Amino acid sequence: MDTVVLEGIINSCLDTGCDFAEVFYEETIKRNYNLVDSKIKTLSLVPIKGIGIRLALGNEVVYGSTNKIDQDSINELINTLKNKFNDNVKIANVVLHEEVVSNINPIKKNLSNEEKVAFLKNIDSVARKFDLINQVEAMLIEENRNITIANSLGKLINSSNNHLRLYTTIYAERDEEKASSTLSIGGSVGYELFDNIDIDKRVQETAKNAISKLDAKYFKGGELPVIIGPGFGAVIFHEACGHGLEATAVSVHESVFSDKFGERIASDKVTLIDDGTIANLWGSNTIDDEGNLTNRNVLIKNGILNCYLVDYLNNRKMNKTVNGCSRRQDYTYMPTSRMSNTYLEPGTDKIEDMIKSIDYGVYCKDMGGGSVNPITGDFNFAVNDAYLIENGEITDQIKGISLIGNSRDILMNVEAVSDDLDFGCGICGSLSGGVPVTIGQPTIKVSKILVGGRE
Amino acid sequence: MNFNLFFDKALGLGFSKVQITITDYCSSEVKVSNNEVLYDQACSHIGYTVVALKGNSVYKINTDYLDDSILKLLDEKSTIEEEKKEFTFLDDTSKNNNVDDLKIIDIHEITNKLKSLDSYRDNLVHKINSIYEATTVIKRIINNNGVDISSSRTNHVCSVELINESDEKNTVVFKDKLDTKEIDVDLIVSSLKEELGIKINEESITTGKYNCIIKNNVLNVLLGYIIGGINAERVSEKTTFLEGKLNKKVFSEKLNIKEEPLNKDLPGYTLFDDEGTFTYNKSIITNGVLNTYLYDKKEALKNGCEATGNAYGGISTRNMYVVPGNDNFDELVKKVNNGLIIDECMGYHASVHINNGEISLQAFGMIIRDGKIVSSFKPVVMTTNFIELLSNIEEIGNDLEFPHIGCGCPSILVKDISIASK
Repeated sequence: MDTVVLEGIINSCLDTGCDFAEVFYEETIKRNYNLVDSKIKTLSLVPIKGIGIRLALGNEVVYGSTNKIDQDSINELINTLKNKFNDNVKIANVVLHEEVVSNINPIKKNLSNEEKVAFLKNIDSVARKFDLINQVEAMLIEENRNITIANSLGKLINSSNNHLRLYTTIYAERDEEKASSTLSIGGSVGYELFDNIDIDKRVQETAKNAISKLDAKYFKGGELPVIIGPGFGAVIFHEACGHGLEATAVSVHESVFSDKFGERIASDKVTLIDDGTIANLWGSNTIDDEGNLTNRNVLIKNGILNCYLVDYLNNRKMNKTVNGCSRRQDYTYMPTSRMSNTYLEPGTDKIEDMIKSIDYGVYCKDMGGGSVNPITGDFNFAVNDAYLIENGEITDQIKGISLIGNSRDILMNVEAVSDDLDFGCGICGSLSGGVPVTIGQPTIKVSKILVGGRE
Repeated sequence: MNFNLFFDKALGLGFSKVQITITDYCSSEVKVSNNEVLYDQACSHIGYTVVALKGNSVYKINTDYLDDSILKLLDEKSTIEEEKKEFTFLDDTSKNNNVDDLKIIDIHEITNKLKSLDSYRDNLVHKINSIYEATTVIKRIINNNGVDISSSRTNHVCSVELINESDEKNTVVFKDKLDTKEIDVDLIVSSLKEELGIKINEESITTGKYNCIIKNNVLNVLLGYIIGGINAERVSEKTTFLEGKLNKKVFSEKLNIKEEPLNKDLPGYTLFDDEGTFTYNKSIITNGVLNTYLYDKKEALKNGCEATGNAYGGISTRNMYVVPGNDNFDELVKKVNNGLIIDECMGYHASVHINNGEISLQAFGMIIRDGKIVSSFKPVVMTTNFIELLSNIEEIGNDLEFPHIGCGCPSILVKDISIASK
C-alpha cells in the first residue's frame, strides 16, 4: 500500500480525537496439498487480502476490518470507527518513516508441484507397507504472509514470512478397533526443513505407534506422578502458565498471575522462555503484528515470575516494557499479546532416575493439544501416547486419557527436568485467532497431577 | 465486480462452467467489563467461492477477491488434483431472491445496556464481562447459466461472564446465547447469578461412575463432532466411528436428531447451501437409527445419491438439533436424585476423537444430592465415547437451545459415566 495513502488514513483517523491509530494491511496466500486415499485429493488455495484499522483513546479501543479495499469502502470503515470518539476535532499531520529490517526466517529451497506430490506419495507408500494401516492423510501446508504496518507514532514497516508444515495422520484398524497417530514437522522455513530429517523413519515410527495403540488398555484415572516426554509435552507450560502471562489476561486482572510479578510461581527447576527470534522456528517472526522486533523474553527464572508478554495497548494499563509479542491470525483480528516459541530450559536430571522413582504412575510420551481458563487457572491437555509406570518400569500402553490441573499449584510440582530439549509445533487459538506456536521442553517429572481415564 | 467478464475469461482458459457463491458479511461487536468498554469492533467482509468445470472435473477456490490471478490458481489446481470431482451446476434461471430487510442494530444502545449490567455487582459478583455481536449475512449464487439467487439472515450473539474472586480460587460462570432477535441480557445475568451462588462452594468427589445431566451447551459441542462423524467424505475415507452404521441402531432409541434449515424461527435458516442445492428439513437419527450421512455434490455423485444441501465450505448443517423431551431441567435434577451436572467441559479440540469415538474431557459442574443441587465439584476428567454416552440416555430435557447456527441441543440425563477425580 502506498505511503501517502497510509498517511492519509492515519491522519483522517486521528481527527476526531483518538490518540493512537494503526493500519495493518495483509496479502497472504495459503497452499495446502492434501493426500488421502493415496492420491492428491485437493490442492487448497486460499488468497487473503484485507485491511485492519485500530484506533484508541486511552484504554478504549475500536477495531475495524474489511477486504473491500477500494478508497470508498476504506473511508466508510474509517468513518464508522472514528465516530465512536467524540473528542475535540484536531488536525493531525503524521509523517511515516519506513524501517527496514532483515528477515530472520530466510527461505533457501522450494520444490516444484511434482516434487511435493512425490514427497506426499512416498509418505503414503511407506505407511501402507504395514498391514493394519487402512488410511493415510498427509498434508503439506504452506503460507506466505506479507504485511504492512503503519501507525500514528510514525512507524511504517513491511514484513514477509513463510510457514511450512507437514501434518500426517496415519490410521490403523483391526476388526472394530480404530486408532491413529500423527506426525507434525513445521518451521518458518522453506523445503530445507526436511533436509536433515529421515522422513521414512519418522513415518514408520508413526505407523507402528498407530498399530500398537490398537492393543492399548483403558486405565482407571486418579492423581498420580507423571513423566512427560520432550517436545510437544511442553503444552503443560503453554497452558498452565503461558496464557496466564499474556497481557491480554494480566492487564484486566483475569489471570491467576496478575499480581504475582517477582514472586515464586513454579519450582526452582522451571526457567521458561518465550523467544520469537529463533531463526526458522515455527513460531518465529522478524517483527510482531504491531511492527516491533520480536524478542527473547524470560518469563519465569528459576521459578520466579520474571516478565509478562506485553503488547502496546495493554501496556497502557500495566506500565511494563512492550516486548514484541503482539500477534493476530490475519487482518480480521485485533492484535494482542501472544506466545511464539515457548520452551523450558534444560536441566540435569536423568530420565532413568525419574522412571525408577515412580512405583505407580504414567509416562506420557507424546501429548496432544490443550486449553486453559486464565481466570481460574484450570487447564487440560490430551495425551496421544501413554504408558503405565509400575515399580520403576514402563509397562502397558494405555489409551483414552487426558491430564488436568490448576496453574496455581501444578508448576510447583515440577520435580525433575532432563537435558533432552526438543520442540513441537502447533496452532494456538485465542482472542486474536489461530497463530503458529512452538512449544519445547526436555523430559520432566511432575510429582502429582490428575490423570483422567476409565476402566 | 463484473462477473460476466470473469466468466468470459474463465471460458477463455478452457473452463466450460463457472459458479460463484458470494457471502457478504457485516458485524458489529462490543465488549464491556463492568462499566468500561474494552473494545468496539466492526467488520465488513465479502468472500467468494468459485467452482469451475474443466473437462469432466470441477475445481474450487475460496478467496477474498476475484481477479485474473484466481483463474490462474484454478488452472494450477487442475494440473495437480487427481481425484475427479463432479458437480451439477444450477441451471434454473428463474430468480429466487429471499433477502429480508436487515435491521441495523444501534450499537450505542447495546453498549449502554451492557454497561448497566454493572448494577448487578455485589459481594458475590465481583466482575461482569459481556460481549454482544450482531451479524448480517447475505448469500448470493450466480453462474454462467444465468442463475442469480440470494438469501439473507441477521443474528445476535451475546456472551456474559460473572466472576467471583477469592484468595483460594476464582469462580466463573458464563452463558453464550444466539437469537434471531435482540437478546435480553438482564435475564441471562439473573440466572447466572443464581448459578454463581452455588458454584462458589466446591467439594471433591471420588473417582467412579456417575449418573449425569449433560447440559445443553456441552451436548451441543459434542453434537458438532457427530456432524463430522456423518460427513460422507469422512465416511468414504473410513475415518469416522459411524462408518458402516447407516440404517443401523447406533444410539438409544430415545435419541432423535433432525435438521430444519427451512425453519425461519431458528438462527441457521437458509434456502440453499453454498453449492446452490436447495435445503430441506430431514430426520437424521430416528429412535437411535442413523438414517443418512450428509453429502455435498461431489460425495453425492460419488455415492450415487442426491446432495443433502449440507455444503457450507465443508460439509456441515444448519439448524440440526436433538429433539427435546418433556422434562424441564428441575425435573431432570429430581430424576438423577444423586449424581452430577456437567455444565462445562474444556479440551474438546484435542480430546474428542471422531475416528474411534473416544472422549476424555476436563469437566466442571455441580453435585446433585437427594434431588437437589447442593454445590459445585472440583474439576474432574469425564471419559467416555459417543456410543456409550448416547446409548446411556435415560431422559431428554425440554431446554433446547441453539448457541450457533449449525446445531442446538436440550440437556440429557445419562447413566454410568466414568469420572476421574483427585
